[in-house]
Amino acid sequence: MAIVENFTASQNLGFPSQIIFTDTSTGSDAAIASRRITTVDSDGNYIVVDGTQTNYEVWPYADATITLALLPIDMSVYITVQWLNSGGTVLYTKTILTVFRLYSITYYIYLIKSQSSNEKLKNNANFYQNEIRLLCSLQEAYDSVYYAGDIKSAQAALTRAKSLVDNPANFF
Amino acid sequence: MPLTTSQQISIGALCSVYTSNELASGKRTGGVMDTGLPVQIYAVNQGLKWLYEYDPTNSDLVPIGNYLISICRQQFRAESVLALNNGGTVAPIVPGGSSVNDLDFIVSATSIIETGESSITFDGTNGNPDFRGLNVNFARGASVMYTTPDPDGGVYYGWNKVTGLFQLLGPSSAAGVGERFRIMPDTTGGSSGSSTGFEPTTILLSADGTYTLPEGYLIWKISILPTAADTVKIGTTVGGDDIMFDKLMTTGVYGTNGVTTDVYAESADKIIYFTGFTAQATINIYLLPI
Repeated sequence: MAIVENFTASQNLGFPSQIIFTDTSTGSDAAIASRRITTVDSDGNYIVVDGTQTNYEVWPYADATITLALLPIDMSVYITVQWLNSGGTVLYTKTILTVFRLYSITYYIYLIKSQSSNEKLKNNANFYQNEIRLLCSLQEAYDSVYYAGDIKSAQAALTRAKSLVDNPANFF
Repeated sequence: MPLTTSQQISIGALCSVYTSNELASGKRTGGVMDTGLPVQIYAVNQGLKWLYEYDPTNSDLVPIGNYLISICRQQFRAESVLALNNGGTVAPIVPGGSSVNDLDFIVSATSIIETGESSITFDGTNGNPDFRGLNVNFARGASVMYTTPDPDGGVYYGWNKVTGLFQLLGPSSAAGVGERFRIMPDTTGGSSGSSTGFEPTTILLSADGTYTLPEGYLIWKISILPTAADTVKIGTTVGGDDIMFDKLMTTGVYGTNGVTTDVYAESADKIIYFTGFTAQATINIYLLPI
């Protein structure tokens, strides 16, 4: 019997560097012995946890989920999960293009929370305009991936967002 | 019952659209509006949405959600569309009457209207009293203020009894430290203060629904703007027509749709029943105090 391969990649608030992978495959295949996770950024670089010597991360088949600290910054990436047999032969493969924005989203929420406790901030042109620029950059990153499948544009938008987040003294 | 975060997000999404439409139309449903409000609502709503998606039990959802609702112009319209108020029944704001007190203070960094501020909203949010539905008189220093612009170029004030927006107007009108202010809600008369004249209560119905006429008021006129050629009747009982017999509505027109009437709520609230709507209609109800 075969599986219908599938997985999800998500994040939890407070841990923007981490990606939580969950195997959502249906069916079963007794030949499967392990999985691999390969993550590639917009420049074609392999993204792995510090100290990993290979271009991929091993995901033990006994674990339905695995959490990996892969992200030093917000990134748009291709994620490929492979299901392998005991001999290392790839039996199933699934690749997704996705975008992780939690560093910048966390900061955006902080800005909104600040505004909710001090409504006058919205009258500060510098604060408000850059808050909207941050929002637009975050949405552009999402739209680039989900409407256009464009990893380069998505990463460019995330870079714009990062420039705002990294310079609060100038922009907020 | 307090709104849930999910409801707040839905209301915010609709209010962003409605305020954008209002801005684009050039017409205002009540008072002035910050032209940046639609974007502001959208921005705050998106922040609340993200926080809710990532952590639906986060404690910051409450202050952010409350702030979102506080800036949501046309909140009640959104709630009606979302059927958050029992399918079209809208209870209008009942004036506070004997429980409403004057605000008498000296302007400072922590007073009700702080030094340098030029407006405040008295709608029950942010710890402010709710003066909506009331006339408001205003004294500043030793002078009674007027709502009409000073022909000599002095200060005056603005009051919108529908939204609760109170404004200090005129040149250099912002509150100055040490000034004595007295804001006097008035349930018996005095300056109307509204810059938009006789303002109706507006409800939206897409099906049979009700309106609660508050005690102490009469309905002078009901105007209906339908989106379908419905045959509508209005009465004080379920399916009743004692206010208006079956009338075939003309789509998209106020003028021939509606009725001038004297329906009184002398000693208790009175429910008005609308029967016959099959598509969304905007209903303006013009009230007068008895």
